[in-house]
Amino acid sequence: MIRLRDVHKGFTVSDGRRLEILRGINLEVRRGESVAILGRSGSGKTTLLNIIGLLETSDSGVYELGDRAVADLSENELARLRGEHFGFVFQDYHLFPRRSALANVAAPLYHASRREYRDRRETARHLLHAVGLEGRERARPNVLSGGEQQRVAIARSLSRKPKCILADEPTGSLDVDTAERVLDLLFTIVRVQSCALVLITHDRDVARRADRVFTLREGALALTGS
Amino acid sequence: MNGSRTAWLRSAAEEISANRSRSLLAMLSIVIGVWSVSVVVAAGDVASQALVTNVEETLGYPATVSAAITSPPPAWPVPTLRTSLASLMTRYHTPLSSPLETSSAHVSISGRSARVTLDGVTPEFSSVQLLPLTEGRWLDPSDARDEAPNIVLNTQAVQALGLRDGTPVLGTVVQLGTLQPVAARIVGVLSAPNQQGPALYLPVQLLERYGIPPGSPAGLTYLIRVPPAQVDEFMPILKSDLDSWGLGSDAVVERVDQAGALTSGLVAVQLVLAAIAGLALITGGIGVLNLALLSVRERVHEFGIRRAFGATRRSLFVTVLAETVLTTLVAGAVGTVLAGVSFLALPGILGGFDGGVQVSVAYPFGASLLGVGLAAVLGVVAGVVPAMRATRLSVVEAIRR
Repeated sequence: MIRLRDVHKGFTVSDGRRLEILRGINLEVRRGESVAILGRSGSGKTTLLNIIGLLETSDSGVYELGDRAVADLSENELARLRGEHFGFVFQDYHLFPRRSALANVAAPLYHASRREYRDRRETARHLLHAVGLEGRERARPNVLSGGEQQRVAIARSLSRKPKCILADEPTGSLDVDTAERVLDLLFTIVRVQSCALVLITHDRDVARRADRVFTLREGALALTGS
Repeated sequence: MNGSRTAWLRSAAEEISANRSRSLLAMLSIVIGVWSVSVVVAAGDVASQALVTNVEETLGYPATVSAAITSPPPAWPVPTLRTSLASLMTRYHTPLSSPLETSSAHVSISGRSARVTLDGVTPEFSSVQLLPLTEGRWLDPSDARDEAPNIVLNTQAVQALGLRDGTPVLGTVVQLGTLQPVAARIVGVLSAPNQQGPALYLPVQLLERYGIPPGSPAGLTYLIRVPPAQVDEFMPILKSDLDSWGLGSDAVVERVDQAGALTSGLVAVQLVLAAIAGLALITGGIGVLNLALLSVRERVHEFGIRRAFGATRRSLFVTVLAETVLTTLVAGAVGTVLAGVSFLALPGILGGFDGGVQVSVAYPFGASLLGVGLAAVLGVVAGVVPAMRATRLSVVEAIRR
């Protein structure tokens, strides 16, 4: 469902130099498949994830989402595809602090179809139940533990029934035991919902749980495990 | 918002609810501003109407011209003058005119008497001055031909004669004068401002028929109601005709209703007050703008996350704009309701100042619409800048903040 061919991305830094972050990335992610991308800090993992998630565009190369090339799509079209195809899980959860867990999970449904919007509360309640947070619907993020917040974030990423979950260091802020439980949840959900997972991590043990493992080094992506 | 036409509105309402303290603070300044504007406009309407009513009761409808002939020369006895003026009015095609000849007499009933002002008028007097009847009717042409003349009293005269002590006023016969009293029947009662003393209205012809002496100085005032647009043209013509009768300086022609001048002065005061109230409203709007900008700055990260979920720049713009418009509209509605409540107390307050003129004014919905409209405009103005800021950054930049 995701196909990147010879994708390049660079940035101009303050002294005018051009930094090539991604150099000819080739990657294919199929539906139901989990892919981990390993790499050091600053290696371009998050940039690659942003390009896959249509949050930013590549400088060159081909990106096909399903049967559509995304290069020339308008911003509105990109927003629509982003909402329909991807669910995001971030390292720092990025929950809305003044909203309840239920409202956080329902938030993406304000941008969904009329039917999804209408059923948003029911959907959010069901997802919170699925991630083990039944009874915590009204709790705000500040009263939830790190593990609970990440579970809310996972539930939120699933609210629009995405075809692919993009997780950027989802356990980076959690202790080992909590991280283990969150990963169990994430991989179980991916399997049950048969959606794809692209997982960014610098932890080899976390990466090992994915179907395929790639390593990003000096802008190039190499398959290092499966 | 793709989901529903009301999704942006609900999202805005939820955001306002999630930030209650901040939203209430923003609303408070708008409430005060809208309340001030609405009350100033409403108070202006009430005061203006009270003033106009007062003037119409005491001086005449706009435009009322008075031709006052004091101490007429012997060639022009008052009855002759009155008849000639009536003919002149017929020639002018101004049927809304009446003499007003004032005298005074003792009026008595059942051993109780009071000195009252006698106003000799024609039935057309009611077309020149506002005559608020509390009961009965005003004079008609048949009243002048009646052997026992029909008269109209004001409420002060009714009180002075003690007619409220259980007896019906209408149909009661009173005695006019003391040497050769004339029996007169009350057919109507007028309310009158407090400062006016006991007064009695009767057909002007009866003043002579019953030998009621003229007032001092002896003379006649003729009141003529003309269209306001023609009054400046009318007065010199009338004065010229009176001069041609040889009345010269004995005849004073002037416009007596001052409602226009008084209300224009009131409008000036009202405009100054409205400007002050408008400043209060604008200050409130700046408060909303400030809080909206602060809110947007705080939520840049949230907007980035929302765009990651599929929100477009346009939907974010609409949501932020809806938040400020909704905040100001709710505040505007509250301010208007408070203004309505304050308005209920206005006639009482003004009545205490203007000598008891009864004012019955419906709530000026114009003021209400003005308040809510201004609030909506403020909401849009205060919302556009923050809404634009909310959508300016790229998704990744916004998420990183």
